[in-house]
Amino acid sequence: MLRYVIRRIAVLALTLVGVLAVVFLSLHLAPGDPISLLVPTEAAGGLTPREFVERLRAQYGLDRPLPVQFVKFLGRVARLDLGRSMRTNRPVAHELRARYPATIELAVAAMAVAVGLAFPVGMLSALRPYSLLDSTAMSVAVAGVSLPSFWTGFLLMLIFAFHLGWLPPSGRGGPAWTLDGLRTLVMPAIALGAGGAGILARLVRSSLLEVLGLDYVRTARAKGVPERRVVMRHALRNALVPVVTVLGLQFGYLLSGAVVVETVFAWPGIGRYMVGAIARRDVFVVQSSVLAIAVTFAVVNLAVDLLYAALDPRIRYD
Amino acid sequence: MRSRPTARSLFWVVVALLVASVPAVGGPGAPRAGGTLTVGSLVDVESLDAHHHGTAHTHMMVSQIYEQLLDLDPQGRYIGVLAESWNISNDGVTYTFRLRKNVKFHDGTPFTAEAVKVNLERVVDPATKARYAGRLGAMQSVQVVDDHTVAIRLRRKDILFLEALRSPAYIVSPAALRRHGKDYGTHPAGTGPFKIQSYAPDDRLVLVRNEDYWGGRPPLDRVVFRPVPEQATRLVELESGGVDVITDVPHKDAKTLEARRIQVLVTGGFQADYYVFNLKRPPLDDVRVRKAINHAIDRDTLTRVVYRGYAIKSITGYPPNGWAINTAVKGYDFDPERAAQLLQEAGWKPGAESIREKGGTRLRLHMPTPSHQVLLAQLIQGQLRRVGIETRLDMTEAATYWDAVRTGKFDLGYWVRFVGHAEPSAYFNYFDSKEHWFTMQQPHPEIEALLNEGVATIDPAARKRIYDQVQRRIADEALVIWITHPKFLFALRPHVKGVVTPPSLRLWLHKAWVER
Amino acid sequence: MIEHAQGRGARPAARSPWAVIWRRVRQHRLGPGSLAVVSLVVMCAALAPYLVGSDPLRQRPDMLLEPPSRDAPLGTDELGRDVLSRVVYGARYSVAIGLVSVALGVGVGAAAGTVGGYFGGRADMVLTWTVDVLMAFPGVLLAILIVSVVGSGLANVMMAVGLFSVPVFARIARSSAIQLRAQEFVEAARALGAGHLRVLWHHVLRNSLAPIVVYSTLRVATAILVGASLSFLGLGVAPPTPEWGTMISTGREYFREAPHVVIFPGLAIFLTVLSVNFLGDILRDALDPRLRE
Repeated sequence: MLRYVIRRIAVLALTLVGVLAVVFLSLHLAPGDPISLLVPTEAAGGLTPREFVERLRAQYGLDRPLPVQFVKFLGRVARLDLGRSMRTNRPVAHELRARYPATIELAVAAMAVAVGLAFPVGMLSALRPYSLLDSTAMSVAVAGVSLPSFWTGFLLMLIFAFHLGWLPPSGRGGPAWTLDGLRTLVMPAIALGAGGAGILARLVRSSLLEVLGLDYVRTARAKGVPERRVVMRHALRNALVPVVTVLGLQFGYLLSGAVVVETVFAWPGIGRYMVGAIARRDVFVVQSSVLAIAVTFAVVNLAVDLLYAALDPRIRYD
Repeated sequence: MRSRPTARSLFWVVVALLVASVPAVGGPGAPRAGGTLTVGSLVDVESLDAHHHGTAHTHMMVSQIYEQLLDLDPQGRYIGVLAESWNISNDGVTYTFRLRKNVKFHDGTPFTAEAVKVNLERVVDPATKARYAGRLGAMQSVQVVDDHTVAIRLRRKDILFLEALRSPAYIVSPAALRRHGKDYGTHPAGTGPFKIQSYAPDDRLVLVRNEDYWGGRPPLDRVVFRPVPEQATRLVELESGGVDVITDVPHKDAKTLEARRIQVLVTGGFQADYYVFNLKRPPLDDVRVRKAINHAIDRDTLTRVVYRGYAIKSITGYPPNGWAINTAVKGYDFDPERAAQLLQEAGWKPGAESIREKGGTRLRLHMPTPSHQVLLAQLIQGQLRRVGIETRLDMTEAATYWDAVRTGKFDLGYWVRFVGHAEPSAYFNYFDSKEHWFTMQQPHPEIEALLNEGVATIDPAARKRIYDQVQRRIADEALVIWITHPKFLFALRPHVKGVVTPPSLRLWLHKAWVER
Repeated sequence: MIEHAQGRGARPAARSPWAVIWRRVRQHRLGPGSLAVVSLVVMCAALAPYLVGSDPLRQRPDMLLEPPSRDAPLGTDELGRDVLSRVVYGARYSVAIGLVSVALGVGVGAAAGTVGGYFGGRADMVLTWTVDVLMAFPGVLLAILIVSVVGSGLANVMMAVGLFSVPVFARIARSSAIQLRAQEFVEAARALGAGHLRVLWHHVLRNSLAPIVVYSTLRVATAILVGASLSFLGLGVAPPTPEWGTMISTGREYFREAPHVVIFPGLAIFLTVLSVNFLGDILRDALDPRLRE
């Protein structure tokens, strides 16, 4: 088990180097000059001479050859130094620390929405397969998957904040355990979680259906075990195995889908920050944000794989 | 509270021939102390280090915390802030400032001439990486004369030096700078009416009243800035009462908001929206084609549809209500027939799909467009199509777009200039090939010479003559498609009083209050 | 899936897959409706100029943001353009983004995955690493990065959304190929002297086709949504092209005064993606033997 985890971490490190290379190259190949974006185009105070801009470029080390810049960056990451944002002059680690909790909170809440909707719906459908209830439930689930999240977001905001005035339209009122925080979390979590709910509900249904058709379930039923118990104790546990794997992947989608939802709801998370940083070509910020999201995603997937083993006794890692 | 300028700078009073109305909201009733004012801003504050940011929005926010030696009042005049008065030597290269006494930084240390020296030197120190530093390029030395007098020597005459002192040169506490070094930005201490309480990036900047403010105790307990980037969301926030004030009100929504008893403050017109021609690329090197395009554009429709009337049609690129306007230049009317005729003369004849052709080449222009100006670009595309010019709109994200226009990968390039006051050089200095944001691609030595003369000349009448010529030359050669001078809109909920919005896109809140 | 693959390899199907799918579509409550919607969208894409008379790009500055009327059944937009005509023409771009990007994802992904899985060794290691790297960018992140590099516009959006699908298909194809490599009939074919290319084409690729087809359909739906998200972030197809996502993106500012500007393209996306998803589900049920009655 421990060896498995160590191996996974080694693979992860290798993957992350690749991720950093992709980000680094993309940003440097992308049109748009980070230094130009720093110097004001507002004309109020006179000229911004070319030599001044070139001096700034040299100060940020952006005049060096690409490989040199990349190696220097890797070296810094290895020393856990993420550099400073060109735009704000604050340490990137500082910037990420301020936004990371908000993104994780949103992703977890969206996941809770997804799971909370998916399991009851998926189970009901599986217990009455091909009934009207089943097809209605599944239609709603597919509808959830088919809605663009920004669309859902605006709709929710118009209804609950603008017309009914029940919830604050946007922002983050505080951490989720405060009432203000909870009130601002509801709409973004639903907008983000709806898609995941649809996918999970269908998966719960199909995987439960499959398990319910297996011999041991039939045996349990034949033995007169109450249906409730059959489903809850015997079937559900096994049906969970594929669902859990997908949960990990879903979490990744939620992390990235947050980009759009965070923009709509002015949610102070990493996704919105990163898209802004890409737009401004704030190289260190983009690299570090992608790194933060990728590491989170990888850790969640590792956790899922371990959970997988715990759920399914047939799987052993060595 | 803000003091009178001295004789030498009285010329700036001419500058004041600007704004007819001062957008300030007050009305009857005395200021009431207490309460919080929440402002929904388009973007977050970039940095709380006063010397480390660039955008107008950041200035709007940090200028609650920090002050400069001088500022522009709503009439566009320079007024002393931390300086009580100033004096410019006869040779125009020594500026002496008498500083306000009994001013304290938020950390309790006193404001002195030494602080001015430390700050100005920090701005131009390359290690600070201050983005505006290029504008203080003329500054040679800062000398502390006594505790409350400071003398600044310039390398050369520079009419924009006062402007440079206004724009990048906020004065922060030297003690705090020493204590926090590179991380000063997380412990801001200025002299402004509000001081920092907390800051959560992309979430909120919370400021509290500076009880010891030299300009009098501000009525508001607290000012909160919240970045709400999405336009629709920002409007919902305002109307549902989540925020009290919003910036960047879309022009199209102003009337609707007013109908709902929201106050809309209209400022500015001291900016310019226009398209530059890539003068290096045929057929735009042909003045007839440039004139034809200018005649093909219906600026009245653009002003009505895109700006909903919150803009002034641009004739010469300089706001018609500014002191240096050349009223003799008439510009280009909307005249599609004249446009067609000019194109015909230039050899562009109607071809397939009524797009003009010359020697088998279609008249096709590349128009990179930033995503926030898509509406304007599409209208222009439609108008040019009617005279037989095809355009390719390349909607790109801002970074790519700025780069395309700067490096000449365009035919028609949208450009915006936010100036905030009537100084004419600021409207035309993009014609200077030394400028990083030089967009014309083809240097124009005569205009450049005029511009250089303009910033080295002190006499207002002489300056007016120079900029008259600049406007004349640009119009005669149709070097630019001037579109409009848009206005900037703030919206305030009905209970917000006493907010002043000078054309420089600041938000003066030290006399604001909320009625309940 | 394995049983299914063997089944097909072993005996000719009793019923052609088309017949199975068709029966499934008819039996499913929402099958005929979904098929109708998808057919309609494809028809709009192919025949747009014959279906609507008005030019989707024609501006009418005298008719801005008009609500639906007899003149303009779905109203006009912020430039006075006919929303109906734009929605109908818009089908072209969404269909193109959906199909081309998935085709790209399947083409590159399946080829690489099959080769890697079948040959193993160093090629497979490089492939696995590449896929891991690409998969480490969760969701639309990779597409956003790509568009930042290559710029926005229809072709680039297709490419970005396509690349975003590559690792998924590479994984599916790779695992199918690995499973099949060890199968007797593949070994038999090799023993009979068939070349690698022939084995790959005739046995391995054709047998991993079922999961790829099913997943492609579902992926078309995702691709349309990702394209719309890119447009929302200002990185998508450039106006004035009437792509649905772009229409919502530029129209969202007018949502409150003229909701029809966003509601109709939004509905178009929703119904299209919904129907494609239903068809994907039906296809999966039809091709996945575990769910056969």
